[in-house]
Amino acid sequence: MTATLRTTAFVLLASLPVGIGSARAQQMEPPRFEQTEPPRVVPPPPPPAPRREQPPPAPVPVPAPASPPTPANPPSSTQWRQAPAAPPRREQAPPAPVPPPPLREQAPPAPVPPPRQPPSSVQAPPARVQPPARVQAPPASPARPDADDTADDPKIWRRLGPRIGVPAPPPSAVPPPPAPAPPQPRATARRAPAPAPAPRPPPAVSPPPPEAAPATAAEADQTTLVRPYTPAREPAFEPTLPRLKLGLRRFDFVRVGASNTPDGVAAPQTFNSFSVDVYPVTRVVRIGLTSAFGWESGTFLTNGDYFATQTVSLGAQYRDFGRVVPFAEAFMGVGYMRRVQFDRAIPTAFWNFGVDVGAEIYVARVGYLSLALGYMRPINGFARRQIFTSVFVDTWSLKVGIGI
Amino acid sequence: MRVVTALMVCSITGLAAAGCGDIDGSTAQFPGTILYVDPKGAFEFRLLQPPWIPPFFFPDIAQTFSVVPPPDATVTPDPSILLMEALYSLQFGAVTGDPVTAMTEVKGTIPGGGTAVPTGLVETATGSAGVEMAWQEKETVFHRDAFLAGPGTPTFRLHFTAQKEITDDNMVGQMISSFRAK
Repeated sequence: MTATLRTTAFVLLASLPVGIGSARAQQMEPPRFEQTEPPRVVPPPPPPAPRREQPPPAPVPVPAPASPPTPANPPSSTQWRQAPAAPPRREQAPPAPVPPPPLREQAPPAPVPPPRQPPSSVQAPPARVQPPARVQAPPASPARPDADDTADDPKIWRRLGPRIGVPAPPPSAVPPPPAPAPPQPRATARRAPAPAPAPRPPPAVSPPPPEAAPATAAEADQTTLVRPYTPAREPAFEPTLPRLKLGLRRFDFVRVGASNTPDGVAAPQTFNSFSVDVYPVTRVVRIGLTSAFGWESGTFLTNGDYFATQTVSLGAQYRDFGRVVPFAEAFMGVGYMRRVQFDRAIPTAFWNFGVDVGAEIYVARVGYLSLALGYMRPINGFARRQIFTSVFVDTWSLKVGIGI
Repeated sequence: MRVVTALMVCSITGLAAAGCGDIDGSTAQFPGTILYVDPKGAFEFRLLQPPWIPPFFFPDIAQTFSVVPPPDATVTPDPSILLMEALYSLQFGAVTGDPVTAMTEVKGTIPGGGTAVPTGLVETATGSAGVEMAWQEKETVFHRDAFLAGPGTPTFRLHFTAQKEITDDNMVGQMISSFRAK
């Protein structure tokens, strides 16, 4: 069985030059090849041949009137293989015993002058187009005029069927760019810059931006898909808005009843305060409750002034800046202040209000550092004789904190 | 939310009732102090009251006193006990001569001649001028004296006594700066 198949294949191969030669002897043209596939199916074009641009020679009278129209574009190698002009096996039987020469030996320099060569032969291997055994071809059968559209070999006929000619599309009809679809090798190969001048301009296809940039490999018939590496986008940092904060604020006040200068202006007095801020409401709007303890800078509880306040704050914050959550809030608080005047501890009232503008800088999703610049008015109220009076200043404050 | 709202409302109400403060401490002179004017109109000065008690005139020695009593002060009409127990005390009295001469006289009475007593010039916010000195009498008795006089006024001696060093005490300094001889 295998031997039979080998013999059949051998006979088929040997009959190719014989049949073509016979056809040429009868001034018949080899089967013409047509554009049967859309341009996108065409693999990278072969190297340009100078003869391709020449106008086709005068049409040779072909006995077959039903031959398909001359293709506007050279056929592809695929088409060539699909339409071998093979004579019937019966006619190949006599030369079958003669071992056919190798394919290279069947391709001597073309004896036929170029004007007589059909344009389709440019794309064909010389061995197939110009067989030397032209004289050995048997006379054409009556059915020969239809040989261009039919395969002589029943096997090939069964496999390929009749050749169907499709008229070439008009040159101006540029196929519309395909709809953006999942990248396919063909689509990307079409977008690849052709290394050799292509016979037809590449269709104007605008590649989708993220999946563009295909590259063509060194070989023209081999394309490589190159897509830009797009690292997986990390999810946006979404901090947990402040719920608790430990803060340290520093601000200036005045020492009531003391002066460093003869003009009688009160001596400055700097306070530090430690606060615990709780935000029961923390969304775009946040409401905070602050318990603070402040002491005169340089003295803690030993011999200086101190205060304790409870503060309510109302503010707004913006969480879409990633790790930085800016905020602005107004606060007001009341409390107690101990004044030490002339070595006497004087109980006084203390309240303040102001505005803080700052940012929480997140080091983790639930941990942050806080920095705020505030403008505040601390007020110290006390009894002067039997009259309650109060002293205030307008001052800046700096508050740093850490929280969750 | 109701608690928070209630706290906010209370805070706002309290602050609105108390106001935003009466005296701007950053610009006002001697904020929070009261002005004491001598009944005879010879001088005036400012002090914090409390902790100072209102000055009073002691006729036996013809001087005006004011003290900062300790929390456990003895209630007694004897001024010597008040002065002995006081944390701070101030005595006013007119002296003869100009401030420098008056200070020199006092300096001579100090044990050791007062050679190591620091002295300095004083200029008050009300236009009076003079000199001052400070020294330590005992281990827990410190003095600071200022001799001030206005244009065409007699010289007044402000004699401070405390249980600690008051040479650079800015509260005592404010009281001196607020003095005005009339």
